[in-house]
Amino acid sequence: MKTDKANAERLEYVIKAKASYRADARTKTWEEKVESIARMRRAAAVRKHHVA
Amino acid sequence: MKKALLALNSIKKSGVIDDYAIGGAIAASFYIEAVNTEDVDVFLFMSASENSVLLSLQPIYDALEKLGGRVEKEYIVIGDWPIQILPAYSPLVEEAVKQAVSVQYGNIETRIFSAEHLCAIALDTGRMKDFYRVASFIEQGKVDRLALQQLVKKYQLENKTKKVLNWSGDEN
Repeated sequence: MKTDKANAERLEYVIKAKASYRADARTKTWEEKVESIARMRRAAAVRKHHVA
Repeated sequence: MKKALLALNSIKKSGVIDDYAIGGAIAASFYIEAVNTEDVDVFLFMSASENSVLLSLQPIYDALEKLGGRVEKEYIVIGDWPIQILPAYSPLVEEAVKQAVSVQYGNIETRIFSAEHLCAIALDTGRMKDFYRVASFIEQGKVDRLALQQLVKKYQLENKTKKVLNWSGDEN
């Protein structure tokens, strides 16, 4: 059973992350955002490799 | 990504394809925040006279291989990016390709789907992440609601809009 404190912390994290994504959308160029997607892809590939 | 765009522009210039437009998450990231994706969706308008999608795509794959691409499963990988070449598979996607907008990636010109067509296609595709994408466009004021509403009506997507949390919310 999750505590209210854990839920509040999780909610705070999600709100901060969402605000960060929105800020990126406003301030980054398309090229920078595509580079960011490329980094996500590489990180996902590494995770997949470690799990396999 | 630049290598992929240069290769696509090259096969367009040499007449292998008439034109192309980028859709999916890569195109969406032009307008809203970046989200992870495996590939670059590149849509082509295929003429009605083509008898077979497989036959008609082969010259495109051949041309891209000559430019350094390598075929892996359903993709052709150029530089670091898997490219999925997709024929326009519905009237909505055909319209999206025809009405795509020209944009710059760095100093390279390319074409991407309009925000309204990206949202309409997302509604049509109908996965949870697609509805979330539409909600993001709306929340960030990146889509013309009237133009999107017209596409929704034209392509009978009204039922899908119920899955978008902020569809009926106040417009910003």
